[in-house]
Amino acid sequence: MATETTTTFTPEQSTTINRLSTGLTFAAPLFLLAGLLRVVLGGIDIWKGNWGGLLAIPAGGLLAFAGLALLAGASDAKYLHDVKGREKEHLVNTFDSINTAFTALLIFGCYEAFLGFIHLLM
Amino acid sequence: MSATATDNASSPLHDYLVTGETLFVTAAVLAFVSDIALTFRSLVALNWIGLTLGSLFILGTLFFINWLYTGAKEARMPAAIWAGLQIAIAVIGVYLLLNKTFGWDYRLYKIGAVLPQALSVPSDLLGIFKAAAYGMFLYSITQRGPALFYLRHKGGEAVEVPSPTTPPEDVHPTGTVLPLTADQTQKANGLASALQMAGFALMTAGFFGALVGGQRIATAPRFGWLALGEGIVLLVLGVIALAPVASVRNIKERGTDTAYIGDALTKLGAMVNKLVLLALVLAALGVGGLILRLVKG
Repeated sequence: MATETTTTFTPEQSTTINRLSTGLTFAAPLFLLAGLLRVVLGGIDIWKGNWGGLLAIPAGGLLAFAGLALLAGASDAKYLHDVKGREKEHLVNTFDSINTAFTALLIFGCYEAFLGFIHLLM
Repeated sequence: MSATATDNASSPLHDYLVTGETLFVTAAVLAFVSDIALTFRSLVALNWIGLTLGSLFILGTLFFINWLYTGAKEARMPAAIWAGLQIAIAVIGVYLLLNKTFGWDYRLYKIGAVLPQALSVPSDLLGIFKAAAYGMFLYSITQRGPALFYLRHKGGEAVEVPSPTTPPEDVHPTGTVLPLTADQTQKANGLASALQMAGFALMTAGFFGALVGGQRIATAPRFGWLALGEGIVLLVLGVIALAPVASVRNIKERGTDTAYIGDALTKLGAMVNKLVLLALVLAALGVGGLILRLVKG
C-alpha cells in the first residue's frame, strides 16, 4: 500500500505544531506532579487524623489524570508534526487528548469551586 | 455617532461599527463614572490625598479615552496598562476594606484604615464597581470584538468586513483545505466548549479558593498564603483556557482551511506555554504544603 507523503501544513505551521508538542511535553508531567502532590498531602492529613484530607484526593486524581491526557496530547501533536499524509487523524487525536484533559480540569474546577463555596459558608 | 457619517447606513459594516462605538463609549463612560463616584465620596468624607488622586484618575481616564477615540493604535497599550493599574488599585482598596469587615488578617487592619481612602477607594461597593467597569473597558480595547474593531477601523487599519459567518479576524484562508468529516470538525467544536467551560469552572474555583485562602491567613498564615496562591493560579488558569476558544471554534464555523487550523494550533500552543508556568507554580505550592506539613510534624 502506497503511503502518502504530502503535507498540508506550511513550514511555519509545522513549527507551531512542534512548539505545541514541546509545550505539552513540559506541561503534562507538571500537572501529574501537582496532582500526585495533592494526593500525598491528603494522605498526610488523613495520617495525622484530619479526615478533611480525603477531599484533596479526588482533586489530586483529576489533576494527575489531566496530566496523563496532556501527555497523550504531546505524543499526538508529535505524530501530527512528524507523520506526513495522516494529518487528519493525528489532528483529531490531538484535539481529543486536549479535550479529555480539559474535561478533567472542568470537573476539577467544579469540585474545587463547590468545596470553596462550602468552606466560605462554614 | 461618528460611524454613521462615513459608512453606508444600511451595510452590516455600519451596524457593526455602531455596535462597536456604543460598546466602547459605554465601557469608557462606566469607568469614568466609577472614578467620579469614588472621588465624590472622597470629597464628602474629606480625604485630601484621596481627592487629589481621584481627580488625577479622572483626568487620566479622560485623556486615554480621548486618545483611544482618535483610533490611534499606539494608544491601546498605555490605555490597557492604565486600566490594569486602576483595577489593581480598586482590588487592593476593596480587599483592605473587606478585610476590616470579615477579619481575614489582623496585621492589615492598620494599613486598611488609611490606604483605601488614600487610594480614593473609600467604599467597597463602589470599589467593586470600579474594578468591574475598568475590567469591561480593558476587555473592550484588548479583545477582538465590536469595540476593538471600531477602534481599528477608525485608526485606518485593514480590517475584514464582518458578518455572522466571517467575524472580524486577522486569519485569511490560504485555499489549502484539510478535508475533515462532520464528526471530526465536531471534535474541534467539542474542544472549544470544553476549554470554555473549564475556563469558567477554574475561574470560579480560583475565586472561591482565593477567598478561603484570605480567610485562613488570620488563623494559619502559611497555609493561608499557600491556599491564596493556589486560588490565584486557578483563576489565571481559567482566564488562559478561554484564549484559544474562538480560534478553535473557527474550524467548525469557518471551515477547515489550514489557516484556521494553524491559527487554532498557534493559540493552543500559546495557552500550553502559559500552562507550563502555572503548573510549575501549582507544583511548587504543593511542595511548599508538603514541607510545611513535614516541618510542623
